[in-house]
Amino acid sequence: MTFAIDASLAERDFRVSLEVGTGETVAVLGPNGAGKSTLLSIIAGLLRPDFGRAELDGSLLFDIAASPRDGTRRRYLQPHARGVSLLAQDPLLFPHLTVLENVAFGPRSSGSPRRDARSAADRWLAAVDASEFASRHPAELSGGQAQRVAVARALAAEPGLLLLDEPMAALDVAAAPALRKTLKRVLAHRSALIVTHELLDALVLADRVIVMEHGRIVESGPTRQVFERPRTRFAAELAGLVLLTGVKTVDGLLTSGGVDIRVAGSDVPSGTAAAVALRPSVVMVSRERPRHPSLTVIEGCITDLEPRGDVIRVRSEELAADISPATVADLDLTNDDPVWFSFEAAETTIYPL
Amino acid sequence: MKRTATLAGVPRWVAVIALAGAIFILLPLVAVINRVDWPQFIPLISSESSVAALLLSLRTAVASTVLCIVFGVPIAIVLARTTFAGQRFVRSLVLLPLVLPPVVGGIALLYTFGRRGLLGQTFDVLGIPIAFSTTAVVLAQTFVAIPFLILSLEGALRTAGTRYEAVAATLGARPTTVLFRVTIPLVLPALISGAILSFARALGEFGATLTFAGSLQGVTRTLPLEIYLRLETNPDAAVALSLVLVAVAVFVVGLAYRASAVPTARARVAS
Repeated sequence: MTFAIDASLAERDFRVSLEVGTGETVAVLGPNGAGKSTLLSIIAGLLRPDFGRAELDGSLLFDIAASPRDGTRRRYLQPHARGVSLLAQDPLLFPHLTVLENVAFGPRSSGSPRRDARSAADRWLAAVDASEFASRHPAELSGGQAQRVAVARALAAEPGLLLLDEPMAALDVAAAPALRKTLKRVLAHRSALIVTHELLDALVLADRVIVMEHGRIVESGPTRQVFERPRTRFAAELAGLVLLTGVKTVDGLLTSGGVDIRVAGSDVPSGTAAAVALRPSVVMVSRERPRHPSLTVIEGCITDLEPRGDVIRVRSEELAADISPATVADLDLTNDDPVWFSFEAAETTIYPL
Repeated sequence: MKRTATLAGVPRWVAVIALAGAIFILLPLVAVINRVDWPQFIPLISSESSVAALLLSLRTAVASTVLCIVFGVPIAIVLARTTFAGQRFVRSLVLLPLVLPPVVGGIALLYTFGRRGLLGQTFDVLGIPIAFSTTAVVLAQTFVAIPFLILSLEGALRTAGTRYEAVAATLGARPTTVLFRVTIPLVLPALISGAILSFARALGEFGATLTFAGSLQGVTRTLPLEIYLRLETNPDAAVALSLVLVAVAVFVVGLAYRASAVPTARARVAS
């Protein structure tokens, strides 16, 4: 274990306990306002928690007792002493320094002689393929180039933990893949937390994923597992899956909405909490109730029709189906229409919650 | 680069009033230039007392600008970057010299640093009599000039925000390193223009100086005091010296304008 934090901040209804292993990259997902940036700010020392404790590579970042009477536990390391670098959405390169001086800023601040700081900066600029910009000023760089330099600057400070707050969000579509590739290379074997909204970022960069909602971690696990067997609607949505939760019955799942779902054989014991995940492409939509016995049928009102490539995603409160535009036209579907969603038992995956 | 005049979106009557206002500001300058006795100009401004007054003015204005920077920068940083109880009150007090009549400022200084003032005896014991000395001139000028630097810098600090400073801290820079390598370079144009404004204000200081420091040739009689004194005895000299003061002020304002234009140029490169 490299990093562990357990912190509370009542003002933002934030309560998180998290560990990051040595060399592990953890993706932090969640809707806006879930507390992802709060988490990074607390770790970096830019925001002070009410109480809690954090440790990085054996040194204490903060240790604040819940009760003020317990005066013995009170320690709070300033940001500069933590060994935690933060890379934000904006590169925030210092505009008055050249690219090389920007990257050398970390080593210089930790007391390295000018010459050593320079060679470290050269090395890190080469590592992100930005050596040719060394003598330029930040104003002369494109967004993607500036963010690559910002990555080099963060790494040159030799942080024990690297925090990335949506590093690709401000980049245009063309620049993001190059930075993603650079990050994949430099994040290997490095302890890092990356906040992202992109499934791809999590899949490419992270070993593990946590999902936050309302200031709490609501889901956590290896990246593949979270996206193949999501436990929250947010993770399911991100993975492009429909999630139905309920209680396992003898031959299926009884959802909290009272719908009986047939599933193919499974080893989940009856009576336990379970979830069914299915891809919208296997869900069918019809005006009449389908009669085939192997189908699970669920009635729903259309809430949204969204074009996605060559299909149209039809959503109801709890389901989604990808169907062809021709079918949408044949059925004459519009919002608020009552329809029947159906799918084969064989297309479902059931797993315990 | 030639700029073409455009009046896009500005009502004609606004432009007319603006022109009238500009004439009101510029006409007195023309009047002074018009009144100058040019053949006698050099002898008029190079009399012993004039040169002494000009040199004293420059010396004291530089000294008080340094004091403004030394005390004003920390004040601006504390006002812009911290929060404490009564901060708004402290801010309005610090900016008080801006709205205070200079004579009142001079009286306040007299009862602070004068021989019978609040701190006067302390300084007397230390062997530094302040009232009616060059030190008093510098103090009076600093008193009236420091709000210009604080205002200019505090605004720039707030606009610059703390995001660069936060990044610098997470890169391992101590607060002092952040201050000198990030904060101050980022607000340098505002610091320079604020300092130049303070210098200009110090150079023109009259009321507080006369009240607190008196008018002793070579010791406390700065150029504005000299001009006022000459107006009675030798108006030609007063006018000539006024023109010198105007020239110095225009030069200084030009410098300030150039300093504050620097970030705009940089932003243009970025876009």
